[in-house]
Amino acid sequence: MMGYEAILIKTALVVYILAFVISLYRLISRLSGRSPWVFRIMMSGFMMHTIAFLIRWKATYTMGYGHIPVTNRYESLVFFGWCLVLAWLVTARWIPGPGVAAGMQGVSAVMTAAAGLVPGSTSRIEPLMPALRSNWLLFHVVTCFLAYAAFAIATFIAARILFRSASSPLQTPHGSESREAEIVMHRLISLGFFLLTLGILSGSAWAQQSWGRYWGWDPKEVWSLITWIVYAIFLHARMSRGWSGKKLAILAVIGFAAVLFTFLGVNYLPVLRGLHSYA
Amino acid sequence: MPLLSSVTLTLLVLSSILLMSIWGTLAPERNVYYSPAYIGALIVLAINLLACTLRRLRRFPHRFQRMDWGYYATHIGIMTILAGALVSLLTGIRVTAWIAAGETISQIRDMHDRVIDPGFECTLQRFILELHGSGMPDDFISYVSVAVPGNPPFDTRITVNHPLSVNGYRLYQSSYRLAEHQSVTLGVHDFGLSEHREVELVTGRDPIVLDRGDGDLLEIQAVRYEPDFVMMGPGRFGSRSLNPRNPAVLIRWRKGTADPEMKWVFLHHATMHRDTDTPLLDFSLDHVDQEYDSGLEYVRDPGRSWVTAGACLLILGLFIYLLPIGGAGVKR
Repeated sequence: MMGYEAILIKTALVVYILAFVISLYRLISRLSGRSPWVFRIMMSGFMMHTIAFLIRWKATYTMGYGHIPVTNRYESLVFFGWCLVLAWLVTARWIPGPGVAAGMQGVSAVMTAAAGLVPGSTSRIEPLMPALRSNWLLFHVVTCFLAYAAFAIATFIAARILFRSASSPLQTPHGSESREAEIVMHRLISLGFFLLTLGILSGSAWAQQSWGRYWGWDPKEVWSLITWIVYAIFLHARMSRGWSGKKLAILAVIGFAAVLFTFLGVNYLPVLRGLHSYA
Repeated sequence: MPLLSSVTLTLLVLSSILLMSIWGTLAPERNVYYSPAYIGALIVLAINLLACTLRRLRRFPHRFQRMDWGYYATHIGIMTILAGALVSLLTGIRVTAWIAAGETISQIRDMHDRVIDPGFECTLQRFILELHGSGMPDDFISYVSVAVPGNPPFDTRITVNHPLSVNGYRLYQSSYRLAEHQSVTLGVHDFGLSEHREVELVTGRDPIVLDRGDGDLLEIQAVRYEPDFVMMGPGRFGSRSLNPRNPAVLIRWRKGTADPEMKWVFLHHATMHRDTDTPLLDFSLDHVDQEYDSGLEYVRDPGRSWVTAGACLLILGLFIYLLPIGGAGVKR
């Protein structure tokens, strides 16, 4: 790993952990509202993360490969961590309470730290196999990871709804707090579903260009379809059947479990190895 | 009709597709995705989507809103994709054709061994494999000459991500493999005659015969070639990869009427494997020009334009239906 990139990633990781500890303290202390300091701390970590990402991207060109650095396990995890932080920063103003913030900061830190720790992860910049050298790479990966990030926030909101459902909901001028949280969760899942659809379709178009088929029943493809179906069920249940509250929150959590399995589980179970096992 | 157009049916069918998909990834040998149950569930889903769409259309024009466009585009998009997939499944052709340099393909065989005439001839002029220092393929390219009856032949190249369209088919550079026959240059060191000769051998072909004088004949045959030789166990040999890191050729030779003998000869370790049993004769592998067969995928996919149109409709529909973040259709 190049010097500056490693330093920036590690510093960003420390910053995310700091923000997580502050949010956790606020959660335990039952402090309500949003902390501008936590936002600023996360923003500073995000800037370091972004610069590290750009340094690596430039390095791929210096080495003569020239591709967005999202093509191996290390790069995927670093980029997923970056997307999670970006998604939280963009949506922080609508997200209720410090619990969701702590969850997102924790997951961002875990993903960024895992990049250097998980088996088979290497920070070496490597050339791309011929099929990956396509303009679809950037679009496919970015849309999928942004979708995953939107689903992650929705899941922490779902967890909040589940934990709060036992006690009586807090009343706000717009109705109950759980109702507001549910609407934010639905909007995030709608956005994530649209992005995931773009990701799956762009992957299909790419497969068509490389191998002459849209769909090959590769385990990662199938699990992305499974994730898509879970969220399709979520949207139908809410929009057509009027599901709400705990039932809907459980569906959101199941959806994110499918996301994590698609992203990580498929790579680690030998029976599921396929075309995507490099990422 | 109420059952076919019910959201309950939609949720049931989606759940069954989901469970069968999970089962399909855990038990790949079952080929779940082409089972009647899976295809049947997809057909029921398509019928359900059609029924839902028709039911909603009946409200037109009284309560037709902007959001309805999103609803219709999304669901018609999914139906179009499923229809395209069905058309491709029933009428499409997908055949991997292996071709060696200099060979011409005028017919292909599908998985049922049926002969198909694509209506053109494809001749592989040469195949180039470029490797990175790590041994990973950088690119693989087939230089081909294509002749369509009634048209002048033309030369072109097919690379990964850049298929060739001809006569309703698309030809993809999908893979490569080591050619069945490899040409090697074998050095024959005949110490008895103080002579060194180089002979050209092709693996798997008939032996060549050298005259050592006075009717003493030496028969040599190249039996097998390994590009990256490794011992895989007692008496078991193979290659770690297709990269020519440690090329070796297994030769069989016979002096006169004696019993034939066999040995591996290496490009990079010639002196390490001198035959001590026959000190008057030794062999070296002097040169290998590793040849590959090109794997070309012949694809005719009549459902392709359907799938493309369906995908565009689906994206447009979801954009209209879901992205006005005001909460499309949300029951508050």
